[in-house]
Amino acid sequence: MSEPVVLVVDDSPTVRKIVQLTLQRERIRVVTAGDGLTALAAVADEQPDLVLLDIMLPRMDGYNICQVIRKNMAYRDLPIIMLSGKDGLFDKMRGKLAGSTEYMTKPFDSVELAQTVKRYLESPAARERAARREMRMQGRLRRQM
Amino acid sequence: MEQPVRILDGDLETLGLQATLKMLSLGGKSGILRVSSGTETLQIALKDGHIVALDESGVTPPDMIEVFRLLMHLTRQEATALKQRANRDPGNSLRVMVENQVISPDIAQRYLEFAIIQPVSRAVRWERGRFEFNHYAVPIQPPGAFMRPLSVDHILLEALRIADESAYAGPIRLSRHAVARWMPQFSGNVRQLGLSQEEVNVLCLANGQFTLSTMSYALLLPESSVAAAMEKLLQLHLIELVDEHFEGELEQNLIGLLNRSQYQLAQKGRPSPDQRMLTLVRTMGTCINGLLAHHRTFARALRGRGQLPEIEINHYLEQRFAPVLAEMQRQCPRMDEIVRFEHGTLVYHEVEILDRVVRGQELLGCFQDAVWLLYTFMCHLFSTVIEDETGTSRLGWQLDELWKSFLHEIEEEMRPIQAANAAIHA
Repeated sequence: MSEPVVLVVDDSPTVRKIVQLTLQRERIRVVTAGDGLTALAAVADEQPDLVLLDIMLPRMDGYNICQVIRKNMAYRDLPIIMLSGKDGLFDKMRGKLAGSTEYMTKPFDSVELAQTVKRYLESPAARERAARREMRMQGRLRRQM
Repeated sequence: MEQPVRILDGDLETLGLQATLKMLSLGGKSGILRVSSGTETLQIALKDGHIVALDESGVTPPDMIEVFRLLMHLTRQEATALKQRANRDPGNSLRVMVENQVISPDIAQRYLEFAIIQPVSRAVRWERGRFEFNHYAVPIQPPGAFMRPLSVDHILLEALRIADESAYAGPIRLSRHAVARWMPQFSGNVRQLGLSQEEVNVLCLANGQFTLSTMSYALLLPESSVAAAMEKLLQLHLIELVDEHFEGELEQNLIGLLNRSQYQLAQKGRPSPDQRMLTLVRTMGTCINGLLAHHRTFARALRGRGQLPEIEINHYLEQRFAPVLAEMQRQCPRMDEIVRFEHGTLVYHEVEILDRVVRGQELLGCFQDAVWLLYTFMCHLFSTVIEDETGTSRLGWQLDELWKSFLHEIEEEMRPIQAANAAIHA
């Protein structure tokens, strides 16, 4: 089975790099996006197993991205973890209403982040998604050969 | 999906791997032979009595594109392009290298063979453990299109040859999981040390990431030969062994520090230029003290000496970094005494109360000096700390990449201040 894929959406290159380093150690492939629209394109192209989503983003904020992703039936069970510097109850509720699976506040603990991500990636739904992606990739490879 | 049917199992004491494989081969069997001894497990896939794949628990083959780059067979640009073609998946490396004529299909076949021969050469020596063979009617696909099914006799002969050579070489002091990296202090000419090509190759791959067994696969050399080369390089002080637990703590500590610093920097809102500069001063000041605190634990000179008196650690830090700070202060004398070293930490809080003493352009000028001084000192401190603690290893390179991202954000924040300053002076 190929490595699971996590999409990290954050306008800070430092945060993107930190998450990348943290998750790569766990043999998780990380793809990144620095703004909302790039994030939506990456969801379609990379078919991630999980999305880590900041709220304050250029071009489209995290709440909107979350809603757009959830509107697509194919991504209804895709885990979306909001990763934000906003730690108020209102922000957390808004994230929940937009369709996020979990909410983590910055600055996050990298060990805790890795554990949370792994918990979602090891679920049966995530395994099923990974198998589907693998089949798609194999199909793509066969077409290339 | 078809359910496997167990047709054979037993103890290795009764029937060793060599005999089991031979028996399955003669019977032309297809399925998976699982062999385990202690904490190690091998799964060998057979198709019509030939070996087509092997899976070793907890072992993933290295990214061969990266290996070829480290061995200088590929430039960095070529390696990056190939990695992109492989979708950054190391499992696709060999295929992409064959497709792009970096290696021939025969060489790729040798790597795939070696990935089977080396683990089998260890497993044929296992005297205790279990084995079981499960039959699958569905044929097992080999890992690469160029992989030809391998005859069990050929694999066993090669594996036994390596096992004999290893036994002849004597016990290996280093673990298969030992990771080595280049020593940062070495400044001599490696060419004059009379190293063999094997030793040079091992040296090239000592990037603080590849284990001894990974190097063995990457160089198509028995693990005993790689261990011997590593031993020699250790004696010559060209490499050092990496303590993975210690490195993990070091990495996590620095990642945590940069994570907090980035968060602090992001809490800026839309303030005035002087508030923006104060945010920068606070962020960089906290980051500098975080780096100094980190270095108290991880500095090479202080490692492995147990709990040292605070005064000795402070003395070490000040001796190492205070002269550099003093040199930088000469270029912005307004910061003399305002930013200083005390008890191994940087005191900079007086910058925040400068508005009680100076106003207007003079205050902005002081803030600019403080920002420049802290920025320059922070950059120096980070590069010194990383070079000392991780050397020229992969971890060092990764942390350096992270640092560049953080610096980019700091510089983005500094840009409007510099622009405003230029406009005032124009």
